[in-house]
Amino acid sequence: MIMINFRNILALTLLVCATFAFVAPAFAGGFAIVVNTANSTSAEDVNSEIRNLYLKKQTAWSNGIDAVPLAREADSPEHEAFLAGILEMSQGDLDGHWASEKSKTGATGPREVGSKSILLRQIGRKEGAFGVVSEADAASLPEGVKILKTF
Amino acid sequence: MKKVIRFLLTTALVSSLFSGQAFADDTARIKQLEAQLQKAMKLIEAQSEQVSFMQEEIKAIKSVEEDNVSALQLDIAAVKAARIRPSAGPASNAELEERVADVEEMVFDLDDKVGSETIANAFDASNLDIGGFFNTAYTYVDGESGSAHGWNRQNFELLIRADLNEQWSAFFAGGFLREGNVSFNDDGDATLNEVGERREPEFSINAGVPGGTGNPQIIAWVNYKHDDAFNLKLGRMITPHGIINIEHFPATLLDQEQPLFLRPFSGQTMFPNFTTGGQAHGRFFFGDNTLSYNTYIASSQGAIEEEIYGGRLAYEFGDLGATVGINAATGSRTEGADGDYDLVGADLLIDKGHILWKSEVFATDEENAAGRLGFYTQPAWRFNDKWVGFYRYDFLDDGANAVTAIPDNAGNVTEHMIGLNYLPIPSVRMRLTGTRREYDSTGVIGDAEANIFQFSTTYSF
Repeated sequence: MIMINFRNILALTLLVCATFAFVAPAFAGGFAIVVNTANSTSAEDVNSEIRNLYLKKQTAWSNGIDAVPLAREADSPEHEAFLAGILEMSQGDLDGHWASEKSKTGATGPREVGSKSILLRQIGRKEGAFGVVSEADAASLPEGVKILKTF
Repeated sequence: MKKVIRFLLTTALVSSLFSGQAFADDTARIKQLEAQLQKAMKLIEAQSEQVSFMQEEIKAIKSVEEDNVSALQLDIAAVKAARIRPSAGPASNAELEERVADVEEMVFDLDDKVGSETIANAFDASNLDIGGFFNTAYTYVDGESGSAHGWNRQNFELLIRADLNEQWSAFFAGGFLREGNVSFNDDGDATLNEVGERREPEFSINAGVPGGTGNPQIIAWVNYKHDDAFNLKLGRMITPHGIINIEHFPATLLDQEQPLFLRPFSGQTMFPNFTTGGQAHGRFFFGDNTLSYNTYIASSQGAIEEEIYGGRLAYEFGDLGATVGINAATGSRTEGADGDYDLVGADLLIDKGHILWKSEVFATDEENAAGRLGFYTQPAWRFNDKWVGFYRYDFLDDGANAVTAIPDNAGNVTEHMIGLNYLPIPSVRMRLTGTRREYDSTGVIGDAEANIFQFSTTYSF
């Protein structure tokens, strides 16, 4: 018979915590959404806006600037973190979304940019552009680019 | 004593004489020394000036050297910094190589698309997207008086979108269809004449009728976007009611046989699947939630001179993954009298995690016929990105009975469908479905059942 006492509860709690620590996504806290410095959007509660803009349900930022979402390569850590942390979708859900949009309106997914330096330069040139980079890459941003939020 | 004094005086006198001569010599010598001293002083002054000049020169040289050293030190620091943090200074070789590789890849891709062998020009569009899909199905129907099987659907549809600028866009979908819908005949009962027949299955492929062959214009509209809240669309478009009719295209549907109230393709069992006219639509965003609207004034293909007024209002609860929609329309199905109808409907979509659950209900009030009622509920479970299983309960009362002269009328119909989708890659969807169809007795002819099995594949690009 298992004795239920403080020590057992503590051990069980530690075991559960350790389990969650091992299954916690590796990307937590290591990525940033970067935008043009002319974009005055607040970082407060911006997840849903970024999600709508990326999925092209919404075409302009709340401040009126036309949005230019830029994607990262499908197998990159940045894209995987963006899927889980911002879009809250699986890759299959995202593929299904674009297949549906393509049939209904002809809309296609955001332009995919492999190189982070090209991505940052594009964001620096276009007011409404945004994309995701690792926090390490966000530590030294070129002129015209700023961090909107980290996740 | 005197002698001593005299001696002393004499000595002093002689001494004084000799000493005068010596004084003269000293004066001359002093003058000479003074001259030499002045000369030496001049030399010293000259040397001092030279030393000062040389000191200035040395200072200047030292200053230049220090500047050079400082500059060199800065260069070294910059090089060191560049080695440590490539992005902080001039581009490193690795970064340049990465960028060159990207550019090469882009050029390669561009060459594939608009290179020497393939040249595509969009006349006035800033952006032109071309895609489409190919759809095929093999169906086996087991009826009460026989069975039928065959490749009854081969559809190719071409999708083209052109953007003139940020405000103006156009979309076109053209179909190349060869479709044979499942139909029934009841041999030996001539009075039925395809009305209410339900026992012996067959596939009917007739050009020019819904579900036949041909290359119809499915969609062709132009959209003006004022902003996200207000868009105007003109042309032939999907009638904005419900969930599956708006999704419409088989590339994303779990079952390519749409719910009963949407059959046949391009028909208007409950409402026209497609309408031609104008539509105002838009979205409002409230954090995670979205309110969207569609209103339209249009006509159906069979009644160009009659107008239909309708709309849909939907609210999406982003956190829950749920969307609730209400629908209403009024208009006419046929040109002339006796075709008016009023439509109301509601739909609920739950799309969250593994769950994808669609439900719709529509009812009509017909001017010169019994009202119609159609509804379905379709829960689905996404096992992963490749496998989806679903069930659908589907019901249709098309308002007529077996003795009216409306073709394809079969009274009340209920379907239970189970299916499995497999997506080996995101652009290919393979489906296997099993359907049990149940026809209610109409009072004139008895009830009947049919089992339908279908394998279908949609390849989209």
